[in-house]
Amino acid sequence: MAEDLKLHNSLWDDYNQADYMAQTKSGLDEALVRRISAEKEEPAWMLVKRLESLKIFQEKALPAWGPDLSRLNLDKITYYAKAMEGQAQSWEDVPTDIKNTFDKLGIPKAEQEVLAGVGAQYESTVVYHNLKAEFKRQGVIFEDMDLALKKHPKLVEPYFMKAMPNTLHKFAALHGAVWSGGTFLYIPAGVKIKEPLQAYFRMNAKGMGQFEHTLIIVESGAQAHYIEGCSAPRYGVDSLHAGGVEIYVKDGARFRYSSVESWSKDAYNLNTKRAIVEKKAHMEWVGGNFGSNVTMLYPCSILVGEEASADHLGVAFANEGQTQDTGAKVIHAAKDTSSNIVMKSISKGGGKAIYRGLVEVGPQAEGAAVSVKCDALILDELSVSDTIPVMKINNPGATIAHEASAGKINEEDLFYLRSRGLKEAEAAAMLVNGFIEPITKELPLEYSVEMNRMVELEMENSVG
Amino acid sequence: MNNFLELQAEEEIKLAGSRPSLLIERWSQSPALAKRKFLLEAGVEASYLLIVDKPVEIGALERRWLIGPGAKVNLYYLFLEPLKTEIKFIHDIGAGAIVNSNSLFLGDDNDDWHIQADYNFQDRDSFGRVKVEASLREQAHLDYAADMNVSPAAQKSDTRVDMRLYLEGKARGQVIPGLNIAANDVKAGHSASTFKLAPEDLFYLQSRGLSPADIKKMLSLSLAKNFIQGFPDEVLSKEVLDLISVNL
Repeated sequence: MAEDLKLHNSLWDDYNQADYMAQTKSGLDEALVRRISAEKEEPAWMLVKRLESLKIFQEKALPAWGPDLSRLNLDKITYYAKAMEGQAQSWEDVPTDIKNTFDKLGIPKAEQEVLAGVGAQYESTVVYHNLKAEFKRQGVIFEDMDLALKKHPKLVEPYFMKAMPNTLHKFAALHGAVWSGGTFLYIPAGVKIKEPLQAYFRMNAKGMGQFEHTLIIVESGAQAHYIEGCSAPRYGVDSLHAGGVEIYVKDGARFRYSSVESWSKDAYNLNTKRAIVEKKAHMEWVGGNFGSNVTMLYPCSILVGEEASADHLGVAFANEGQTQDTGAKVIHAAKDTSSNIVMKSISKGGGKAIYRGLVEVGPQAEGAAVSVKCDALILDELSVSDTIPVMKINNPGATIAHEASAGKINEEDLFYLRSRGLKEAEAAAMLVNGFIEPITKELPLEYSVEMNRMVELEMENSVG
Repeated sequence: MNNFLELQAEEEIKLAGSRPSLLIERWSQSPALAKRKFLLEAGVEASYLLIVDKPVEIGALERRWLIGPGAKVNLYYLFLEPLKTEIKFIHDIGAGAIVNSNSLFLGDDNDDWHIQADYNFQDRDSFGRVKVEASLREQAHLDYAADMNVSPAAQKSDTRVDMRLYLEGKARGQVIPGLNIAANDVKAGHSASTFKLAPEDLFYLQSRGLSPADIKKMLSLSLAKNFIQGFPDEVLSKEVLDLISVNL
């Protein structure tokens, strides 16, 4: 199993030559923001938005709470780099080294076998994007975000950075200034797509920053499932991911957003994800956070329509030197809304896993129902687990239930598995996979298997 | 039989010896001191009751507990009047010590409380149960953050915090039952919930002739009875129940 896992690890840690980096420089200024906008031939309003965001970014301080970000040298990050010109229409047109990277990650194969559409981003731009013809015929739009801005301005402008305003925090402002690539997905009213759509975001070069923007509009009564994967190799210098995801789920629609993030242990993953959920609509977030040096990620559902609902399911694995500060936010802003949060975290080898959650029930959210459950496994004496759930209840008619626990692997279970011939690390990995099973079972089989493999990788050399 | 001590102006109270102590701090009958420190030596048993039943202008409220190895303490914090100041409870808990902490808030009008309670489990085999209950009506507001901080040395510790809110009218609550765990071989849990009468229960009680005011009183009294469970002194239990009844 060890050789197999080593091979699997190389999927993320192998990197390509990055000659295109010779044309880039690190650091951020107004000239770079203007250059990004000009190269993309964006409408004037987008340049205004970028410059406004830059100003907010420069004025805002780092968050006064959460993990220490003071070691992140923002001047050493490369904010924009293009590995190829244009976008390929088929995988054959993608440069060989880039295609090989995505082949190893299994993206083209998954496209053929299980996906309705695929997008692949490498550094700052999308290199490949495709949607099966049957969904195009139904009016589904699945595009690279840069392209969507040009082709569908009337769809993009009313929504762009409205759920995730650039004033939200410093890294939302940074995202607004330098965003590049990402996904635009539009599902027309009543259209239901059973197969998932996927986008994969790959950072390759040393000291890179990636700031893709994902904008998803799910019209009334529509249904879809979108999966994002992310990874980057390890160099020993900081890299930064500050992506943005905003999702609009209209009346009676259902949408599932799944992500499996496996950043290198050099990366700061400071991501923002928010959904606005309207009447009787349902939003599901399923997330796995692995890798990264520091992750700060709290997907947020804002329930604005009566009987809107949200599920947040997440796993975070903090290994040596890592801080996984993750969680969920749900804002109940209408009657009879409901939310369900299930979070699992594992800390090992000195890793720090933090659940940071917010549930806010507004005065107008009569009859709101909230259930939160978060469990933490602490695998050794070096590791730390914090749980910080904030519950703001401004309506007496709400029903809130929150439950959390922290502890270690059950020694009797471990003993039983060892008595059946499993090595200690294998037995521990199996128990950890059982612990996160409520989350992985919500993923398509291929992704569920992938998440279990990632746990096995993290559990290598585990002492149980 | 307890050592009975009605606290007056002592800022620092040291407890030693094998006889259990019962400490009472009632603001309508004793000075409302901003800060007090309690030092419990190894093996000491004590119960402490704080009753905030008188509105007092005070710059701060802090109660710090240094709980020695093997000591056992039952804490009762009862809030019947609001405080316009930050309230801090700090508990440093030694090896094998046991802490049971109960807080009850009965608020109406514009009553408002802001509380930070830290339970610092500093050594192995310590045990803590923290219970916070509140019944808030009209415009009352409670902001309560409890942090269970388990240090790396506090292996085999067992901690739990439970918070329950009953809200009516425009009452609001913010609760943060935090767990900060730096030891792996521990039990730690928390819960936070709201509760209310089910419509069928309400209907039943009204059909038995109880007015809405009677039902509210009954609910608050049931919280009060929960609160005094385990009180070391029966006379005191009755006094507290009577006091709460008068304030409903």
